[in-house]
Amino acid sequence: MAEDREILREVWDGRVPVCVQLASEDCNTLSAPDPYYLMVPRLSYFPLVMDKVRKHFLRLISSDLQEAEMWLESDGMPLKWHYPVGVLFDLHCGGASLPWALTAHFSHFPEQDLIRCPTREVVESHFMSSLKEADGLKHRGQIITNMKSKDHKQLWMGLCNDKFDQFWAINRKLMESTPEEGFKFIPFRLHSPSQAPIQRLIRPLTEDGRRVTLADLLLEYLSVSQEGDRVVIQGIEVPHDTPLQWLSEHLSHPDNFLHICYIPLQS
Amino acid sequence: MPSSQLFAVNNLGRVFGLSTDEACWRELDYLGIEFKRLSAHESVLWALGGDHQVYVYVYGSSVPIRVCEESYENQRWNPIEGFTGVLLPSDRANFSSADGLTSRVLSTITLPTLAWSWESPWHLHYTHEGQALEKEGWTYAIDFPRTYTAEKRWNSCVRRRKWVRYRRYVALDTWSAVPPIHQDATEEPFIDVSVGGGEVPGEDPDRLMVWAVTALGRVMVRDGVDGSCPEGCRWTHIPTPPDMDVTSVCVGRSGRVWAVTWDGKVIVRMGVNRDCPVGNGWVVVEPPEGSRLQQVAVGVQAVWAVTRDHRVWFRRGLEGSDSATSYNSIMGTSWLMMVGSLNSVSMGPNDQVWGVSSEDTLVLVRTGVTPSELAGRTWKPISLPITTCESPSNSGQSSSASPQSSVSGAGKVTSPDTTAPEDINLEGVEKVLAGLSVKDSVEEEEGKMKEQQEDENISGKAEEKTDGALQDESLAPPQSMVESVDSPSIEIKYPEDCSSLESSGMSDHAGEYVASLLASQSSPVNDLKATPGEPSELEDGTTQKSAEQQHFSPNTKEWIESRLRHASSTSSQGSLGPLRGEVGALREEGPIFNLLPVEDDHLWMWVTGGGCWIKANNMPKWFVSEGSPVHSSEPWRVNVLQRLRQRHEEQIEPFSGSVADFAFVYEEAVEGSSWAISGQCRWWASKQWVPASVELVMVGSRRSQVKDATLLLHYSLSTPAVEEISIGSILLVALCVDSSVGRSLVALYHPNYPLKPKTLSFSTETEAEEWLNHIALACKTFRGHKKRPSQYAVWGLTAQGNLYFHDKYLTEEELRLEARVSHKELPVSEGATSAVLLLDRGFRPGCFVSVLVEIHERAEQFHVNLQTGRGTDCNIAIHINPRFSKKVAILNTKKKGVWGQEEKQGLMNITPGRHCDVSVMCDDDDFKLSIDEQYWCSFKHRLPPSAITHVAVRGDVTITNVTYNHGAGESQLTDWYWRGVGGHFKRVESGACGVTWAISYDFHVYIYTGEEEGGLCKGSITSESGDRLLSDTRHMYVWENQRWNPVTGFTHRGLPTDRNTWSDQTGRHHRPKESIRLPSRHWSWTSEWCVDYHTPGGVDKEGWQYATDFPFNYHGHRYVTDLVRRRRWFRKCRITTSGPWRQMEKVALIDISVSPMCASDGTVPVWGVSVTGEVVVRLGVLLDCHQGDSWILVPAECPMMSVNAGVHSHSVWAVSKDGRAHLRLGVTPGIPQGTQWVNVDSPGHPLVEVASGAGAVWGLDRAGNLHRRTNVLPLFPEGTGWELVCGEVISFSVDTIGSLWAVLESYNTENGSVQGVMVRRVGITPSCPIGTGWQHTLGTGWSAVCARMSVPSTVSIPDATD
Repeated sequence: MAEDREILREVWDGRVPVCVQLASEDCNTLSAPDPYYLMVPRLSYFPLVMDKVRKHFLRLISSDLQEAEMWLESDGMPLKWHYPVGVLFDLHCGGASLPWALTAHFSHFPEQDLIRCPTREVVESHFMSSLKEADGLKHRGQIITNMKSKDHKQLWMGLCNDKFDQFWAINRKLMESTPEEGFKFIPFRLHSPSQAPIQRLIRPLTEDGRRVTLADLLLEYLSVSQEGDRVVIQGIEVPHDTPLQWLSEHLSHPDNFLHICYIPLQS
Repeated sequence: MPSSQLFAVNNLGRVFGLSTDEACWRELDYLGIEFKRLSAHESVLWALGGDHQVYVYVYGSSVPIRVCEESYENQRWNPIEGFTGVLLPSDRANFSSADGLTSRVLSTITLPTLAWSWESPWHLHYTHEGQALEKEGWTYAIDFPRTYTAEKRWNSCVRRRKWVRYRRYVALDTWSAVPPIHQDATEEPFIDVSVGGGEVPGEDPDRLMVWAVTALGRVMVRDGVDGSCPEGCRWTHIPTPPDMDVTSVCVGRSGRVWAVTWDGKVIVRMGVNRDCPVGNGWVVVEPPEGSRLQQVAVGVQAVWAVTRDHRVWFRRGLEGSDSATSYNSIMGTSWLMMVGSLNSVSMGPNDQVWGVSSEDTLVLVRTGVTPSELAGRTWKPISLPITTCESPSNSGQSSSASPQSSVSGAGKVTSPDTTAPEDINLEGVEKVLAGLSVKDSVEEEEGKMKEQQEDENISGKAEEKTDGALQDESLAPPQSMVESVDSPSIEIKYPEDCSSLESSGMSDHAGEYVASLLASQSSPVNDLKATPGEPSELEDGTTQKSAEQQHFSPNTKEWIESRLRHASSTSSQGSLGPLRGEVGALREEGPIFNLLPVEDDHLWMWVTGGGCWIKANNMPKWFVSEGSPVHSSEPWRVNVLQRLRQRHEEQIEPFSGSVADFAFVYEEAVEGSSWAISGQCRWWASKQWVPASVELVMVGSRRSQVKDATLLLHYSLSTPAVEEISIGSILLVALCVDSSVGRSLVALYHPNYPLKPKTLSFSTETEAEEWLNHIALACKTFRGHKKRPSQYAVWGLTAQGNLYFHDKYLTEEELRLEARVSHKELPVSEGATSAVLLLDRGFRPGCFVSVLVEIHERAEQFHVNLQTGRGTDCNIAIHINPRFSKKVAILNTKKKGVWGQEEKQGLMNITPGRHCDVSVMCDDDDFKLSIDEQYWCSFKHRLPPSAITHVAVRGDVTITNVTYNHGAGESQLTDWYWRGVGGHFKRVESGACGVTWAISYDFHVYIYTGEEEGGLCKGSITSESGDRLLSDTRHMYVWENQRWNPVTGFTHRGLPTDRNTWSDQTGRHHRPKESIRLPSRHWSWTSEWCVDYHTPGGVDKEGWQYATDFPFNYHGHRYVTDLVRRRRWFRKCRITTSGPWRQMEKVALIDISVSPMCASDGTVPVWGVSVTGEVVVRLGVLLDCHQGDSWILVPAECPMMSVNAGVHSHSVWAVSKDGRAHLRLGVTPGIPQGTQWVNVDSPGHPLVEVASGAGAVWGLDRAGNLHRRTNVLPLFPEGTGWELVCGEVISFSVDTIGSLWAVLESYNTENGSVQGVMVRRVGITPSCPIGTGWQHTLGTGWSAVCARMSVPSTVSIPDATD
């Protein structure tokens, strides 16, 4: 693959400033507790980065909730932990007002909206299955299955510890492609608020060898779009003539999916 | 991988090249000849022209092809006249060859073809065996076949002197006609030509094989095609079996020849080998059933063929093995039909396959061709844009104007103000004529007379031309044609209109073109002479002056010359007649060429990849435009990066610590924490490999810096043990693959053991490479990134071809780092009462450790140990044990578990309940102990302090702080950190401005680009420019030894004391061929084992060298006393690696030297010696243009083998192949190439290299002895003699302040001798200029060093890194 360290580094260093409030109904103290301010890596998942917040609030909640799972809510919407932080941020906040105000809950788990995440291992297995799915699309899964389990572990630890080199030392293998063919399919997910993400098959090149661009993808899979709608990847609006292959190699999340957020004008 | 070219011919007969690093076909300069077929080799193209003659195109190399013609003038003394040229009838001729057997009258020595030109007139050679001769250059002897001496003696009856004259091949980068078989070229035109060879076992790599087929079906071989004679000497007929007339022939690189007969069968040449390069017989191979073959392509291990019905066939059952002689392995077993339909097929040097498809005539490449899968997978079309020949003059004609019309345009230049071009033309014409005259007038020594005549001819002809041009259809031959003898009347069609041109696709315009060229060139000359200042009648209304002026841009001269060259070589057979004859056709050109079809629609007719290296897994950028790895200039990429940065500014920066707007800083969700890589290996401990688990623990921050890293090895040797190696103490990381025992070693050099690495052993190469990579990367990030090495870097090459450098110039940041590294606090956890801490740089004299403790109120005792390990069973070099109950401090040692003699000291102010600072400093003989910075006592060494690795503190204390200083304040050679750079080289040279060049084992020249990645030293992610692939070839050798005995002659049965039948060069080690393995997994074999016929010292025809006994001087001829013999076998292997190097094309050098001083224009002259021994200088090398712009030749009388550019103007030294030193005089900043060579004697043994710096000149001879030139003074730079310095030197280098660096073959240390040690001479003073000894650096196995620039002593150093 063409490795563009400059871009990869910028993407990796993406952070989101968050301000976490404890939900008032869970609060055991008289005065409202101080919110917790945190820089969260965009590429990570909330369950991996909320240990400090959880520890901070545990002192303030009633003892019967000590074992409960913490879940987050933004502007009334429960956040799905299995989406990368950056995707959630782009969908729910969009950088309109920073920091991103979140509310931490320890009770009333929204069973119908969220799946439980009791341990980090659940995130890990979700992450690994995403990786495998992505590699299945890109290389028919040949690369990920040929990796040793210590490589899998290194990918995961690289993500957890926010270690660019540790992660990319392995991930570069997953991003390999022949220059003339590219990936088999581009693994992407097209998110939009209040809708399930769209995931289809799309090739990096057309039959006649032309590079498929972001515009082609949007034209095909975005049924309605109007002036002023934003298409955001990694928090930025990418030029629509950018080739998908390049986007997939450089702007994908660690799960190797290109998460595209479609944000209609009214929201 | 260096770029190479694929060539193809289109339906118009034009030739196009496609470079592997471009994605565009480029037309070769069109010279008026169309081509039908091409056959490429790496440096040369052979082609079949539209006129059915053979042409050769030699790529212009920076190094000229020069041949020295020599003739000896012999004289005999007689009592009356003294020495005269009158010789006895039994004597040799007055002018003869060196052996006197052939007569060589100077005037009969002529240029072989007009592709050559003389460089100089005949002149005398003034040296004899290294001695300068007197003015007339005579050498004397008693009688003829004797030894000649420089002095004339009383009995000198004969004398001789040597005349030399150099000729140079001038038809570079242009087509040159190869002389036909008969004088009349049309008598037997050619129908096919193929070039191959270069990899015939045992044969010179530059000896090529050229086979051709004539229209009569005869197979011809061109003899004598090699590096110094690209067009060969003569055609030789190879008879074919009866009724087997051949239509097409193909010769492979290993010399295999397959020819297709008229009836579609194939005949294969048998018995091709070094002794008989043309083979000795034919064997018929039947075509595939029901088909007749049309064409074959022969590779190294495969053969492809096309039948007349366009089907493609792959020959099964071939074996690439060179030694294979069985019919099957040469001919294969059966044809296998492949998918696809082709017109022709071609094979590359590594069995890659190209073809031209039959339906749409596209050029195809076979994908997936690998050594294990020679048949490949699919055909893939190469559809790329086409750049046509850039015609220097678009002289107002239509855009499709071909060069021919432009030439005619050139001819029409008559305006008076264009004097310069006329000069050029004049010059050009003279050149042609000078060439012609040599051929035509062999009886005359000087061709001047003839030249004048010819000049007149031209004038006359030009007049005729003018006449002819006036008439529309004047095809009548002018009178001058009558003069020419046996003018070959090549069948030349002159199409009446464009339809005939199209129909005859590649009809022959050569003659016509040349005629027009001659006419056009001569016309202005004539016009100038005849009617200066007047516009010619020829001036065409459509020709615009502006276009003409554009035409005569500076490069026009070259352009015209190249065409003239072609013209001259075409006419080399004295066939001037028809050329002149067609002068009248000039007027036709305009319309004809204007009607050429627009060249958008190419129909490819032929393709040849004989010189094109591609790899299946690394195809060139030919297929998809996005293949180019870097998108840095794409607007969307720029946009994305811009927005990402904006995102950073908006969303991250306001909340991060750097901005103080917020009262508090947002906490990082993920703390920068340490991370570790772990694995399994074996560790060399107690003289055995023990299984160990290895762990690299890195402590870093978010931005992937490594603040600190430690390599931990846990192993068990009766008891569990841990070895800690701090990353700061690893100075050199090397990989060593020992595939014979299935072990790959990672060697870590540490300043305490500079010549003996700590070694990790891994079971697979990949694993070892990964670890090497991890460790090297950790070292690199720990020490901080730097853009490129400064010009003061010292470069070192290992015997394995790996490259390292140490940058002597440290930035302030690095100095701080050095200080930080040398003096540091060891990590002690808060409130610890005991600790065992690693002293990562040991505890040599100069080191210092200080332990600050708080002694408990009721303390009884505590101790501080300096010990050799972590555990309790280790040796203790000093045990400091204050015992408060007894009010005494005990000092002691412990060795192998036994305490030594106790020494007692008073407690000074060590008292319970207070802080106390115990510090130990290591001195040469003892430890100096102090308490609270006051001297306390000393303690004599009982154990070597170098063994100390840890400090241990235990007892009734709380440790506050432990500091450790390893005293690296002044940088020692063994403290240098060596950084690896990718690539594989034999020689590296750097000089002023940090210009660094390198030469690989296959003599390719590479220029350093400044990055660091590549090869084994790649980062986890490569830099933007991506990997540059490099390749190199090396030879592996084994020696076969035999002893003679009276009964059986030479046999392998030797005496018991003898060496093994198969051995290495020294004969000490048994080396059967099977035991020779590839150095690493990046290598692959490219040949089988062959006898080496180029062993130094000469060999007989079976490759043997004889000697009276082992190990003695070997010689190539057997004398009666010789009882032993040996011969060398070699096998070639090839590495593919990567590195930050750009290959300089078209040049092969054996030595280079980058000047440490800039020339007056700020450029850095780079000297080189070509494989043929020519000395060249590269000009225009600048800081930002490391490749320079042009080569100039520095002619020398004898071939050179090495060159060195010294500091001062008078110090360019070279060594000739016979081992003599030469000093170049007149080298100044203004004239970087100098003026003259001066011969300097050698120190007994022949020299191999001479280098100078800071007024000192050093020379290395063949026996490995280093000498210093005595009495070298600025006014007398030659010096007077040689003084021996030291033996066993492999390589040396001298820097600008005169420091002498060397690599020693063996170096004696306490623990025996080690090989390949890099050293610096110490003790060089004015009173002792040869120095006193060597100081060694880190690491072993070095093979070359380059240290040309030294850091100036002044503090202000210009920052070369910017």
